[in-house]
This record gives sequence, C-alpha cells and structure tokens, in this order.
Amino acid sequence: MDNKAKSVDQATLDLIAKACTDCASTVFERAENMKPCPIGSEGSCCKGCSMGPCRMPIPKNKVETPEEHKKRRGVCGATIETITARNFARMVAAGTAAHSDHGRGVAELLLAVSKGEASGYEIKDEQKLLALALEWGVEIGNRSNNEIAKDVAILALNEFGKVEGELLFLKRAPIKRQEIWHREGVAPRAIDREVVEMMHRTHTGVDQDYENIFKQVARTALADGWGGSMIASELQDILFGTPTPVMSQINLGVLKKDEVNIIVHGHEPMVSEMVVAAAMDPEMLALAASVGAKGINLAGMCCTANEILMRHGLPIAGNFLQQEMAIVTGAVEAMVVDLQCIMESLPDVASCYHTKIITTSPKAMIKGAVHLEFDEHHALESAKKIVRLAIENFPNRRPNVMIPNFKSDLVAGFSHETINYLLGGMFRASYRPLNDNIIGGRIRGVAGVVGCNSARETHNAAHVAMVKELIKNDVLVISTGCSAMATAEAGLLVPEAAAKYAGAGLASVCEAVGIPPVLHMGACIDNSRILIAATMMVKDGGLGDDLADLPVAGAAPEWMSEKAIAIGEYFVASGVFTVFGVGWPTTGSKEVTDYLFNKVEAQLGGKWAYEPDPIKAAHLMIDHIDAKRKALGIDKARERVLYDMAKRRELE
Amino acid sequence: MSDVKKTGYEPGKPESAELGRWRYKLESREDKLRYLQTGERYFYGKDWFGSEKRKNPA
Repeated sequence: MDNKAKSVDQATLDLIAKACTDCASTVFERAENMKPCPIGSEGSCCKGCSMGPCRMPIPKNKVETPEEHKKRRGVCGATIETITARNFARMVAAGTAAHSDHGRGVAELLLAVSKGEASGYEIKDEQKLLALALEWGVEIGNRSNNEIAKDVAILALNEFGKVEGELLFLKRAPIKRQEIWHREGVAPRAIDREVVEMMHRTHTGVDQDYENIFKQVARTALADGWGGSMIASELQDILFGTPTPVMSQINLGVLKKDEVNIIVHGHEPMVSEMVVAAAMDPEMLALAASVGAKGINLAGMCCTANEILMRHGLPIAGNFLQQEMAIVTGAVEAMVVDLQCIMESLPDVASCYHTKIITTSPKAMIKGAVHLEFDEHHALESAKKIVRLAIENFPNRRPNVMIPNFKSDLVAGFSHETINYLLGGMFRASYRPLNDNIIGGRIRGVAGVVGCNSARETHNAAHVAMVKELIKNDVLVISTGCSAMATAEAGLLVPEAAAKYAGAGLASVCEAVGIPPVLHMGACIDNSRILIAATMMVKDGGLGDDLADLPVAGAAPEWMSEKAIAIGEYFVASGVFTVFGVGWPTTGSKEVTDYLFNKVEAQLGGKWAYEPDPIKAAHLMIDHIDAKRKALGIDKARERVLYDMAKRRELE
Repeated sequence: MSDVKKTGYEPGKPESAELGRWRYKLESREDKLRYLQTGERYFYGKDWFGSEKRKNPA
C-alpha cells in the first residue's frame, strides 16, 4: 500500500513519511506486515476449550454442499452457526462491559462528590441532576444538590447488579419499542447480569441454538445503550456539564511548537477534566515559563478528546489512527492515557522521541509507560503531578520536530437537549421543526454515522465519503467518536459546509437554524444521546409510533473494536437499520449472517447490513430511509389544504 | 423545495465562547424544573405526545 492509500488526511500522510525516516514503527506499517486471519475474521474459529481451537472455514470460491456444511462442527459437536453466534456474542459482551464499566466509574465518582470525598469535582449541571431525580423518583424539595446526587448515584450503581425489575432508562423509549422488547424477551434486567449471562451462555456446552443466543445478544447490547452508556453520558453531564455549542479546531496542526504540548487520550473525562484545570493553574504556567515554554497547550485524542471538546472547546489532535502520529511530530511532551483504544505501541514510538506516555488507571497499564495513578479523591494534585512531568520534559525535545500545518474549524456540542433548544428556543424548545422538515421533504431523513478507524481501510476515507453522499442527498447526519473527528478534519462540521456539500433542502434548514449538516454529539459513549434524540422525534409525533418507523439509519464504515459491535447491536435491537464496513464477523455461517441481515427485522424492527463501499453503503441507508418515508406516507409532496369548519365536520 | 440563493448567516466567528452556553440562562431551581416540564416535556411533561398521545388518552 502506498502512503496515499493509508489516509485521506495530509497531516497523517506527512507524519507516516516522517515515522519511516525516524524508524518509528506505526499501525500503518504493522497492518501491512500482519494480514488478518482469514478464519478468525469470518468467525469460524472456536477456542473455547482445550479440545480445540477448532477451525471450520467456509469453502472459498465454491458453494458449500450440505454434506460439507454438516462436517463443519467443532470437536464438541458445536455447529458453525453456534460458533459464529458465540464469537459475535462475546464481542457484544466485551463492548458492553467496556462502556458500562466506564459508566460505573462515573457513578462512583458522583457518589464520592455527593459525599464531599472528591475534592476538585463539583456538580456543574443542576438541571440534569433534577431531570434524573424527576425520572427516578428521587425527592427534590429543598434538598441540596449533593443530597439529591447521592440518591441518584446509588440508584445508578444499583442498575448494574439489582436483583429484580429491569433497567430504569428503558422507560425513556417509545411505548411501542418497550412492548417489542417485552414481547421478544430482550428487556435487560441489570447491566452486569446480562454481560455475565452472555459469557455463561457462550461457554462450552451451554446455549446451542443460535437464535436463542442472539436474544441474549440483543438484551446485553440494550444493557449497554439504554444502560451503561446512558448512565455514563447522563452522569458525566451532571458532573461536567451538558454539552452546548462550542467552536474549536482539529488535526495535528493544533500542536504548538513553542508550548508544552500535552495530549489526553482514551475515553473517560474524569482525568482530563482535572488536567484541564491543572494546565490553567498559575503555578503550572509559571513552571512552563521557567523552562522556556510560552504556555501549556492541551489537546485531545480519541474520545477523551470529544469529552473535553464538547464541554470546554479544547482542540483535538486527531482520532484513533492518529495517536502514534501525534508522537511522531516530536512535539508532544506527554500523552496522558486513561482507558480504551490506546495502542500498546505508544511507548515504543515514544522511544524515538522525548514523549512520556503516562498511564493513569489501575485498569489500563502499559509496559514502558510511566504510571501515575489518578486519585479521584485528590484529583487536582494528581493532575498537577501529570502536568509537572510534562513541563519538566519540555527541555528534552529533540531537533526532529515537525508539526503539520493542517487544522480545521469545527462546531460541536450537540447534545439532544441542545438540538431541542436550537430548534425551538428557550420557550418553544421542540423537535417539531425537525419532524416537520422531514415530513415536508426538505430533510429526507437522519443518519447516525459513528465508530472507529481501522488500519484495514484508508484512514477517514469511508467516513468522509459516506457522510458527503448522505448530506448531498438531504440526509441530516449526527455523529460521534472517531467518525465525527474524521468529518471534522474534512471541514464538514461547520455551518458553511451546508451550502457547500448538502442538498438544497437540508442546506436551507441548516441555514435557517444555523447548524452544520453534520452534528457532533460527542464520544462513542454518547451514542446513547442519539437514541434519545430519535426517541424525541417519535414522541413529537408524525413519524410513526416506534424508532423502527422513523426514516433513519445508522453506520460505522470504519469500525474496529468490540464496542462498535455492541453499539451496532443496540441500535439494531432498538429498531434501526445499521450498516457496517471493513469486514463482517459472521460470514463463516450463511445462516447466522442471513439471520442478522434479514430475519431479525421481524423480531426487533432493525437489522444489520455489511457494505465496504461507503457510497453503496450510503445508498443502502438512503433506500431504507425512502422505504420508511413511503411506509409513513410522506414519500410524495402533497398539496397543503387549509380546512374550513365545514370540511372539518365532514372528517368526523 | 427551496434553493439556497446566498448565505444568510453573518460572516466571521462569534467572539464569546459563552454565546452557546444556553443552559446557564436558567438560574433558579424553579426555572430549571419548569423548563424540564415544558422544553423537555417528552419525558418530564404530564401529557403524552404525538402518536403516543392518541394511544394513551390522558
């Protein structure tokens, strides 16, 4: 693969070339040297017991005969259907566990804050706290925020392991959706319980009916989207503020040659929020000046970046495949990491430069990194230690510094509450204008384009191509995670992009409201915000009774992690058509793949699709949106007739 | 369908980062609770909405 095929982003291409010169090994090089395992990638390998691993690849370049299919069984007798379903299920369990353990950490922090045991943190969004209190039946009255927060935090923590009932946030969904979950027996009971049961049922010799396995897959994923992820987003809003529109910049050009550059990387905002505070501390600024730096420049990477962007407008250095590139600039004094999507190669890359890799979580350590465990009870002191280490490293910068001169403006901060406010204002906040413009045809539908980067694809190419195709066809795009960053780097997250790239109908709405055609809703944990925005569309009326009735679709064209599969599954189980690119992990079984791509729709209202070509994938989404419009009867323009009283009486 | 003939937004960038922080406009707890029951009525209002209202008469 030549360098041009590795990324559509020039800053990344320049730094891939520099990495070669500096003898730094990167993900792009490793992907060339390590081809994906053809058996594992189709889900045809079972390593669940010591009688295997059993490999049962589907025959290539020929149609499998029934006899050949019968022979594709593991030593224990498990069929290829059971094995591919188990592999998929365990991806969903791992993804759900990752998001939900993040949510548990936030709930524990809220409890500590409410008890006055976490200095440096405070409740920043009383309104969000009150909202959860109303929803969960916590007494408000004249109680202090901390008293209310304590009850809310305990209820949130209870969601992980309660012994009866079902998840509290399920009641947010449209009534019809709740009925479907109950009818199909997939309403999650407690978050940890669903993950544990998923692992149990996929152990050797337990659940051996793939359709039954997929029921638990749906229940586990829903425990992520309407459970762990939603708890994380909601409680982070209470602690750090509900996102509102902010301007910022993105790409490696946000690094500064004459300042101490600190990158916060990972997924949780608890550490980075305090690093933001420490970097503004006069003591730290004086220390930076004393080593010859003009200031402290904090930038984000991956979803930690999205968290601090959404709430503080801090610049983003890049997305998943750019984490090593940031170090290759030679201008990063410290990369502070928390959890998830952090490459173990970072200390190796850093060894070619002066960068310190600092791990902060006892759950995520890396050999070769400096471990400064973050103490949430003394958060600011912990953060200052990190910032001090970075400042002291500034004089160690080597001559091989190259900061690419590429950065793009962006507007972010579109929480579902902010979209509601922007569409109607303080006194008429509403999703009605969105629904009306969909019914009227100016907006064809809404697409959630989310997910990771993959080194198996050209970095950012599929995200940008898919989103451009969607907005050209008047589909409003809502985005999170690395996908939002990819489109931001391509200049799609500014209001001006509407006139340049969007169809006339979508552009007219974007201009009237003053929003970009692609709305950045946050980190990958914040995909739960998309569920709520879609629910608000249903509840406002005119677009059906259920999420499955809406002219909406989802996609992750460059997905990589197990979390992405969990997210895709909770959208499917919520009734949303969802298209993934890169590769599909059940192709080893035609029956299982057909179930996920077709049959599951009759049960849950949503279904999966796989299409690696982003333009074709965009048109699968548009076709689905058009089909939903037709079902709603809004596929054709209709003359608007003002009824007089006589005509109204005729109606009755 | 309407065409966008020319840009209608003001050129340039807003100078204050505070401009977008709409949630701070609500100061008292009463105002916040009132907003939840009206602005975010989908979840905190007393009525049902849209097609759900027809199925679940108050």
